[in-house]
Amino acid sequence: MKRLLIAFAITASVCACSKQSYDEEFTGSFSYNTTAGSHYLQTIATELLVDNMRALENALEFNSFGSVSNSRTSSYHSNGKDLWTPGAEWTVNAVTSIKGVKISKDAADSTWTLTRDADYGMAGNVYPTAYSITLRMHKGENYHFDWEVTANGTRTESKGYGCRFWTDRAVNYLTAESGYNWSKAFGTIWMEVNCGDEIVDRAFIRYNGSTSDYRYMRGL
Amino acid sequence: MRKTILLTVLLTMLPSMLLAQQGWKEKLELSANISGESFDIEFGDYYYYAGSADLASIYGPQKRNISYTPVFSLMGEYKLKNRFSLGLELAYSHIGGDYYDPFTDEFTGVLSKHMLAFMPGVKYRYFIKKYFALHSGASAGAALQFGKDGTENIFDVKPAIQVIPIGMRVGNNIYATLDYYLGNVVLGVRLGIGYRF
Repeated sequence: MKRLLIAFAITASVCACSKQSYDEEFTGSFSYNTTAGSHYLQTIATELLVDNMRALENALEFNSFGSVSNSRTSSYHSNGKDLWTPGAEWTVNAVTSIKGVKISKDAADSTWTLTRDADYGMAGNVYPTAYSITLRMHKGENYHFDWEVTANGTRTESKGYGCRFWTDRAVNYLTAESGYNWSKAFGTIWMEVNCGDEIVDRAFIRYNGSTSDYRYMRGL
Repeated sequence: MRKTILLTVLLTMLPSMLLAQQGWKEKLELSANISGESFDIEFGDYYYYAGSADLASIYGPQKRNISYTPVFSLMGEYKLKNRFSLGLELAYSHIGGDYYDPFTDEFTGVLSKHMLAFMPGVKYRYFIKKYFALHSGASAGAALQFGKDGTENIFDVKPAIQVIPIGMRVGNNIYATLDYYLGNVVLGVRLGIGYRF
């Protein structure tokens, strides 16, 4: 019994004297901000823009055949006009993360505008996100195209933070239905970050051919 | 789920029904304890992964040199009957660190947050021998948080809830305890040494 109590006392003393540090698991290193900042802008490119491209490609496939091979295309609502006809306006639930996105066609060209103002999850963080994305179709096959992207949006996050993002120009190519990876990416996405009324940062990510070949700058 | 819980409780209580009970006559107990912290109260605002970061974590003040103490607690218990006792636990822990500007990398302030929790509770001993007992319990109270967070003084009150699915006690008048805690103040193993009056 005495031995047991002594063992307990020693264990408790050791625990009491130890002050634990988990520095690396918390925010803090100066490079953390740069890494997290470029992650944030990359996520706009690889999640938000790609989700909208997927929604439009699925809608175009549905427009042509009345069905699509992708199982995520569950529901479509249109105003009765063919998606290639000027004035067409569809509400699309094809991609779960951007349910209710509106696709509209203004002119007789190969350009569509997608708009949405609702919660959107980026890298697991769900916040109100409003955007207008214009997608201009270039060459492609099997309903996967090169897209010229123009995006304009805002995102409102916690603790008073928010951002505005927009693109100069970006070209994307969706390689496969299951993957939707950017194998080709050019152009710049800008971001202006605010905390309340104060602008705290301007940053950009510039793609030079692929999503792994980029330049990120902040503090502009 | 309910059936599983009920079955588990019945099975764990079975030994106490089969074995003769040997309690103790002392009514009051006092113990000093040490345990790991639950992330819920102390660390909720301080933990981020770079890949899932939001703007507040990227552009807000950066926390570094984060360190924290274990949870120290004092617990008094009063035995109502042979199996039931009422208790009051007073727990303390501290988290500290430094703040740095996300752009200039300059030191901007100190994080020093104290947590003091008051938790009345109840304990049920379902297996009692002279030198050994098994118990379960639960407690609920309030946790005060105070100190300095960067340039701001903080004071906050949050609910404190703890459950002990299983715990053991070894010893007689002087005893040691080993409990498993689930809750938002303590999470995990708690070690303690106590005395019966």
